[in-house]
Amino acid sequence: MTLAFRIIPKLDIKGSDLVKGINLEGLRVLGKPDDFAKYYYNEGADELIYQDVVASLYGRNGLKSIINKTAKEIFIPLTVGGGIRTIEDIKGILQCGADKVSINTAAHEKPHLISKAAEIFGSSTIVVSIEAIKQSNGKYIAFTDNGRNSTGREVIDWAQETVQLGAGEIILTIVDKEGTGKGTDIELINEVSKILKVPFIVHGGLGSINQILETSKINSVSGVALSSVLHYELVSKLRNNQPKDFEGNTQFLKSRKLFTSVQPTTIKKIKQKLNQNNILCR
Amino acid sequence: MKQKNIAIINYNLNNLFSVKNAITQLGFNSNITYDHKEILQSDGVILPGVGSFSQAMKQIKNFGLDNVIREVINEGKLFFGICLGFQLLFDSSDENGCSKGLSVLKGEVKHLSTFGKIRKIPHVGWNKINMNINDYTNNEINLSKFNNKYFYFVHSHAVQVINQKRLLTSTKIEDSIICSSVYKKRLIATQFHPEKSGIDGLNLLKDFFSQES
Repeated sequence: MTLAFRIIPKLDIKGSDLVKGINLEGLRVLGKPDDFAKYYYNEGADELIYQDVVASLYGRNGLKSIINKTAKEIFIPLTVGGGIRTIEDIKGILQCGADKVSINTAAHEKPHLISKAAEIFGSSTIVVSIEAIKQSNGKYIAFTDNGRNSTGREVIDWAQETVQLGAGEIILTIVDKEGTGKGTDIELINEVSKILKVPFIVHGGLGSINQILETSKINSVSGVALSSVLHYELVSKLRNNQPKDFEGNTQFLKSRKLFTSVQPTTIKKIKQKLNQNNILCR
Repeated sequence: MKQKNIAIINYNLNNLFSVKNAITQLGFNSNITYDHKEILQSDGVILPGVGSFSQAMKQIKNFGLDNVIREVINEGKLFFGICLGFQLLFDSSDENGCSKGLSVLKGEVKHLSTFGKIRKIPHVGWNKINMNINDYTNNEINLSKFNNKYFYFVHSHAVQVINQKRLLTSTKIEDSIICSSVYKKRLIATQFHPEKSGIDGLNLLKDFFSQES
């Protein structure tokens, strides 16, 4: 491989706040997205993912003003997801300065959106997001709406289908692990990485440097999307991060108590470790 | 000192705001424009773009921009081509059969599948650029600091390094090598996106447009 392994902070947005949940649920406010985005950019983030975590649920999209501002200050690729349902939605997000859009629910409801979008905007602009949950029979099924609704489709089949439709990149979220810091699902990632010929980003459960290193060694994994492991480190550094200005659940900001196995770290430390292990990083 | 005016050529295909945002951040003025006079009177020109080569050429001709582009390059105006704006400067592209380019530079743009065994196409992500010349004739700008640095690429077509007399940097994709940037007089054009390549990308644009215009 000659491409650098990508370290991608994922910013979950609710209203105007940066939030974080566990298994995509129980969102707690961590701060203002702008503070986090700038910090990660200066620390060497290779890309940022913005996810409007309630957009799909409420059928709206309120992320544009945040993206518009970010694109004026941050000069790395920006991927935006959450509630994108039409070609017009995609156009609107790209015009705010996003480089790629990520789509989950709408891809299941109308797969031709992916092919049409790839044709109009180029497949490298279209990322399909897959939320995987392991079932009691051992099968991995793709879900929508933050792991709430089953589509009945097997993850591997769906990944292949979306690439055929024109998806230029896949981001796979291991929902059971997401926000827990308990490590990812190596078995599923191995399986998916074998069949994919487009960039493949792994998300969910990566709560320590060693777990990230383990994932980066899997052939064909292009990068990791990280939230808790980076956010919790930064929260402790940010001053002016007082609970009073925020809209949602600020219990975490008041107590600063971690309920997960996450071992917070920084992008610099992650890249240092990967480089020491011959994983190319920028 | 008067702020420099950079014309970002608009041929109505795509979103040019990230290029404009980068130029603004660097302290230059810029207009997104297809107006011939504005382009000819600017202190520097950017030809940006992603997307279809043939569509872009069609639009450039519709707006009569092909002659304007050749003119500003020939008269030695600072000129920076980015991604599709790099590819358009060559003779042709094999996209949709064969499409003619601006022929400012000699060479053909070809699909990455013709470069050997590249498993993942498009080539998307951060890759290194390697300086191929030490005697880049323009003394006003020192490019050696960008050697071996990572820049952001998104593309399915590329230019061969073989016989490329204007090669500035090359880049390795798996086991193949592509031309990642070229120079000619006061022109630099890059296959990668400096406006999306973090601090190094911004510095490249800044150094380039800080040259005397």
